[in-house]
Parts: sequence; C-alpha cells; structure tokens
Amino acid sequence: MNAALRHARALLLSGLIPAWTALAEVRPEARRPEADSEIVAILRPGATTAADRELRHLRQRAADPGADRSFIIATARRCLQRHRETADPRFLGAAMATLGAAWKEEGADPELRVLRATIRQSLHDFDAAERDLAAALARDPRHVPAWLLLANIQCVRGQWDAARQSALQLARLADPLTATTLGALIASWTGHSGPARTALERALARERFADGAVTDERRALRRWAASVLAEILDRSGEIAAAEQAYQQALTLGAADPYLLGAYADFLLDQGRAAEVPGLLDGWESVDALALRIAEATRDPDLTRRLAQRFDASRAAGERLHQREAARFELRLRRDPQAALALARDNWKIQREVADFRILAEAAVAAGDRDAIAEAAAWVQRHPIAGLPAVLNASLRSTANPAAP
Amino acid sequence: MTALRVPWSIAPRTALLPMLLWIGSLALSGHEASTALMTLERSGSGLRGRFEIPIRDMDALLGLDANDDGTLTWGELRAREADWTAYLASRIQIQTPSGPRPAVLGSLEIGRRLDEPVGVQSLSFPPTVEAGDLRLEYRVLSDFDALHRCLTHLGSPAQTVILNREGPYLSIPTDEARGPADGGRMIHQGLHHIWTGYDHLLFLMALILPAVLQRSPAGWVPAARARTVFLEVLRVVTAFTVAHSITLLLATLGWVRLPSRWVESVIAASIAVAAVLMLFPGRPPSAETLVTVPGWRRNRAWLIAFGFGLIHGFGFASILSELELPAHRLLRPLLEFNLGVELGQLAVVAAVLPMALMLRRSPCYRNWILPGGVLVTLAIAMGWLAERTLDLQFMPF
Repeated sequence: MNAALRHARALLLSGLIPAWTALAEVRPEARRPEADSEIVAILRPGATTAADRELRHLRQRAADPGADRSFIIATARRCLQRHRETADPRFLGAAMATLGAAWKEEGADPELRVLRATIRQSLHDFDAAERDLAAALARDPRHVPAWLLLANIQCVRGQWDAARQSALQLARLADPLTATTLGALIASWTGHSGPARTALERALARERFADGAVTDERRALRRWAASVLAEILDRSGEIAAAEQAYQQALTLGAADPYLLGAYADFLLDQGRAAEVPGLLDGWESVDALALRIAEATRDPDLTRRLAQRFDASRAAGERLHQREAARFELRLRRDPQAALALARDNWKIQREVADFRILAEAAVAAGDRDAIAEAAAWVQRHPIAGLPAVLNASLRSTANPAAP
Repeated sequence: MTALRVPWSIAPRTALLPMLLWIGSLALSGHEASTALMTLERSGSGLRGRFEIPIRDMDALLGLDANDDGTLTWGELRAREADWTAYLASRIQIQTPSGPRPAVLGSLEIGRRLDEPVGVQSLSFPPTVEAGDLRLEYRVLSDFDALHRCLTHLGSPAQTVILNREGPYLSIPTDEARGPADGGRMIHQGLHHIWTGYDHLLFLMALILPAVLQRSPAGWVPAARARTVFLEVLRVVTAFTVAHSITLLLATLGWVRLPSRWVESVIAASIAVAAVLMLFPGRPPSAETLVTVPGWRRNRAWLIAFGFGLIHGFGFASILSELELPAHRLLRPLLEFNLGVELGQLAVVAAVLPMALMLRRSPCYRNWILPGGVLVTLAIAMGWLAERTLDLQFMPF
C-alpha cells in the first residue's frame, strides 16, 4: 500500500514538474498596470532620433501601392544599413518587407539583385545569394558591389580560389583600398600574412593623402581595412600593433557591432576580460555581444538569460548564430558535446577562421578523435595563421598520439 | 598618386558598399528575430488560447510612443489599445466557406519574455459549425517585418508550429472525439444545450413533477391512471416545444430581437412561477366541470408551458447566434438543433416520469419530494432572477 502510494506520488510529480516548467516557460506573469505613468517598455536607449523618424516615414511611403521602384530599393537599403549598424534582425525583416513583390522577382535589374543577395547572405542563404549575384554580373560585369559581395561570400564559405578570382576582377574595377583589403583578407587566411600586412598598411597610409571631404562610406571602408589589419596582426602575434590598429578602427565613424565583437575577442584572448563590459556597454541585446560580456564577467544571471535566448532561437528553428551558440555551450555551459554538434553544423555553412577555431576547440574539449583528426587534416591543407598555439599543439598531439 | 580615382562612388551603388564589408562576421547577427507566441486549444467547436507579442514590434508598426522619447508609458499604450487589438484581430483569422472570421482578443496585459516586454492577451475564436478542419491564417507584421514569426503551441500535449510569411496557415484538425461530425453536429449542440442548460431542465421538471398528482377537496391525491398523466405530460412538453420552436425561428432569422438580459431574466421568472404553480396541481374532473368545461381547459399547465416556451426559444436562439451561421445555410442547422433539444427533453422526461409515476402513491412524494422540489426550484429560480436582473454573479451554475 505504501509502495503503491509512493509510486503514485512519484508518477504524479514526474508528470507535474515538466508540465509546470513548460507552462512557466510559455506563460510569464502578465498584468495590467494601474498607473498611466508606469513605464512598460524602454524602446530605445535614447529619444527617437531624426534618422529613426525618417526611416519610419520612408517605410510608410514605400508601402504605398504607387511607390516608385527606385524609392522602394533606396528604402530597403536604408533598412539594411540600420541592420548593419545595430545587428538587429528586425531591420533585415524590414528590408525584405519593404521590397514587397520585388523580393520574388526574377528580373535582371542588378541593383535589386545585389540588394537581395545582401539580405540573403545575411540569412546565410549563400546559394540563393550567389544566384542573384551571377544574374547581376551577367547584366553588368563591372558592378563593383556585386563582385565585392561575391568575393566575401566565397571567403566565408572557404572557397579561397574562387574568392581570389573575384578579388582579381575587383582589383580592375574598384578603388585600391577596397581591392587591397579584400586581397589581404584572402592572403592572410591562406598563409600569406606577411605580404597581406605590408600591402594593407601601405594602402591605409595612402588614405591620409586623400583629397576632399571624407564620406561616411569612405570612413566605413577605412574602418573595415583597419580592422582586417588588426586581425591579421592579432593572428601573427603582434599584439601591440594589433591593439593600435583596433584603436584606429574604433575611432573611425559610428559604432560597429562587428568591430566591437572582434575587439572583445582580442581582449578576451589577451586576458583583458575586465575591459570587455565597458567596451560593450549598452549592447547586451545583441546575443553575440552579450555572449562576450558573459564570458568576461561570468555573471550567472546574464548566463542564465543568455541560455534562454539561445534555446528560444533554436526552438524557433533559427540557425543564424550557431557559431555563437557553440561558443556558449563550450565556454559557459561547459558542454563540449553539444558545442561540437553545433560547431560541426556551423562548419557545413561557414568556414572562417573563427568557425574553424570553435570547431577545433570543441573537438579537443570533447575528446572526439574523429573530429580532431578531421580538423587537423583540414588545418594541414589550409595553413591558417594565428590559431592559438595551445590549440595547434593539442590538435597535433591528439590527432597523432604516436608522434613525439 | 595622391588623388584617388573612385570610379564607383556614384550613388546609389556606393550606398550599399559599407554593408558588404566584413560580411564574414555576420554570424554576429544579434538578438532574436521578432517572435510572437500563441497557445491554442480546442474548446467545443471553437478555439481559445493566448497571444503575446513584443511591444517593440507593435511600436515600430503603430508608433505607440506618442512623445517619441524612446520610453513607452502605460498611458501611451492604453490610448492605442483599440488600434493594437483591431490590428491583431484583422491579422489572425480562421477561414470558413462563408468568409474569414477574426480572432477575439481580450484586454491587454504586460509581461516579459526573454528580457523583452511583451503584450499579452487572451485569444479565442467563437464556435463554428463548418464541417472539416479549421484553417487559421496568421498575417501579423507579414508586410512589415518579413522575418517575424509566431511560435504556436497547439493542444495538449502541445504540438509546436512556426507560422511566418512563407507559411501563414495552420490546419487544426476537427476533434472527432467531441461529437459526431457534419450533419450530426447541430443535433449534438442541441442535446448538449438542453443537458447543460439547467434553467430549461428545471422548468421542465417543475411542469412534470406535479403532473402525477391531482387536487381534491381532501388535498393532493395521486392521479388514478398513468395514461392520463402521460397524455398530460405529452401535452405540456409539446406545447413547450412548439412555442420555443416558433421564437427560435423568429429570433434566428433576425425578425424579432429581444435583449438577452431581459430574456434570461424572464426565463428565471418563468421557473419561479412554475414552481409556485406546482402547488396547484390540476383538479380532478367533477361531474359539473365535465359537462360545462371542455376537456382541454381542465388543466392549464400546457398554456403556461406554451407562454414561457416562447421566451425560452429566445434563450436557445442566443446559442445559435453565437455559432454565427451563414444566412443561406440556416434552416438545416436550425432544424437539427431543435431536434437535439427535443431529444434531450424526451430523455429527461423518460428518466423522470416513470419514477414519478411509481412514487405518486407514496405519502413521501406528496409530503416531501414535491414540496421539497418546489422550495429548491423556487430558491434557484429566485437566485437566477436576482443575478440576471441585477447583473451579478453569485450562483454556482
């Protein structure tokens, strides 16, 4: 009788607890505020800027059935620019929505095709993006943004030879700083960091003698070039020079979440975690940057909230930041198996140095011999400069335990 | 080479360039895309559940922040609550052959999910009589943020579906276990209604219970013949049925409309009256009345049944109107619904009448069951009457 009772109670509890937690997850406390003065949401860090208002206005006009096509494309481009500045996917969705019917159009208008390719690569739909670019370049073989985007996508996918071909095309069409930066990026990833660094430093130095007013675009281009240089120096172990290049990039123009993420990683690698929270202050809403703050502070509350956010993204079928998700599993949840699974999925889509690094780290941490052997074989064929020495050593020793 | 030749710096191409730099690191793409959450459960032939959506998205769409200071107060939000609800209702619908039907959303509450303030509302779709699966269409923000999605938990155990611009439809299977499909569904509704509509049941009981007794100078005496009782009850029930069928038809066709609070109050009053009349069962035929009064006027219970039946018909009609039947397909569901109500009534009569007949000779029936029934019925009816006229809620059923 007692046993039966205990059994029944256990059954009840085992059923109730998951049901309760599932319920608690989908049903947060909700209430109707009493006072009109109560603040229900902080929508933006500061007051609505003129730029926000203007974008809202542009979007309303672009949604008008009679809106001009070039106006629609210009508005979608503004949304994309906000996405670039904030890393907020809502602006990506806004750009898509603004395009409306044009999103599915099969015409050959290069402006539309390149814009769409930019959105598609942001969603990691690289095949569709490359199709758009091929169509745009068939119509206009001198379309610089199309070549630049194509080369970038090829880099991300680890297709270095193709990327080099695109960069050569770009060198004939684009200005020297764009072509040099792209060339340096490819060279540094394929084992030629020395020449890459020299060329970039020279190109950046020439910028000082450029005439006329510096546009925002020019500043963004310089920021990109300086940050690529910083990463190359970082991977070559020239820490002081890398720090200088990062600082230079940070002073060039508006805040840039991508640059902030790269510099935060540099600080974490250099044991300067204490500087990370200050650098990323106000960026907690971006998962990837919140991850870096959590790695730096080990704040359990932030880690818990971040876990919920990553889990929610996964539940919603999102696969956009698997690299970050893998990093979270490895460094904060300390679950190397889960990290390795995510890193492998990510590796199928993206093959940058950072993607390789998280794959190799997770493989070593999980002690997964097959994965380590794969990673070691890949790094032998593709001499990536600047993997942390410790990681390189453990990859080699674990992959060939017999070797001295 | 001091002056750079920049052949590509011609708008609008250059405007795109900054976005193409550094794409390699775009995995950094932050936050979650805009995500709403919906839970749905079948309730009868309708749906009910809950909906929540980030306040930030609704602000981007509707411009809720009246003073543009980046901070949304409850006052600012409350001033636009009607717009908020109207927008969502127009974008969450179920498709029926007679056209789309919008969601019914409850009052707005504020909650938090994943570090983000969300607006939370109850959500339901009124019952439908359409055959087959329900098809839900979700178009919230679809032309504003193409990456917006709705995580939908359907039924229990929950099955999770993601609704978005590419896949806005959710097919919700008909719950077979809840009743016969198609043609039988309205009969089922009618049966269900009489069975759970305590007021109609109670009224019916108040008419049946005294039918097995008759008044005599010596007080109540059992009716001599079961056949007389049976005919009497048949007459009462038929009168009730004919009457409520008439008003049900009139009300459903929209020819006569009465305020529902008034109808419900009169129904409660009718039960009270019937309860009091229980104390005055029909008189036995005397030699005198047999001569001067035709048989049908000996007992006026059927008249009461008919009169109040007219009112009860309006009560049934309110159930039918909740089902929002398309006008051109009204007649058959109406007949089926009525048939269900009659079947339910007959079942009640078949269960109660034989017992009353058996017990009619026992003093217990006369002294306890009938007076007790009168008191209980009267108490319940008065309670309902107070509740419905004063618009209160205190009765447990």
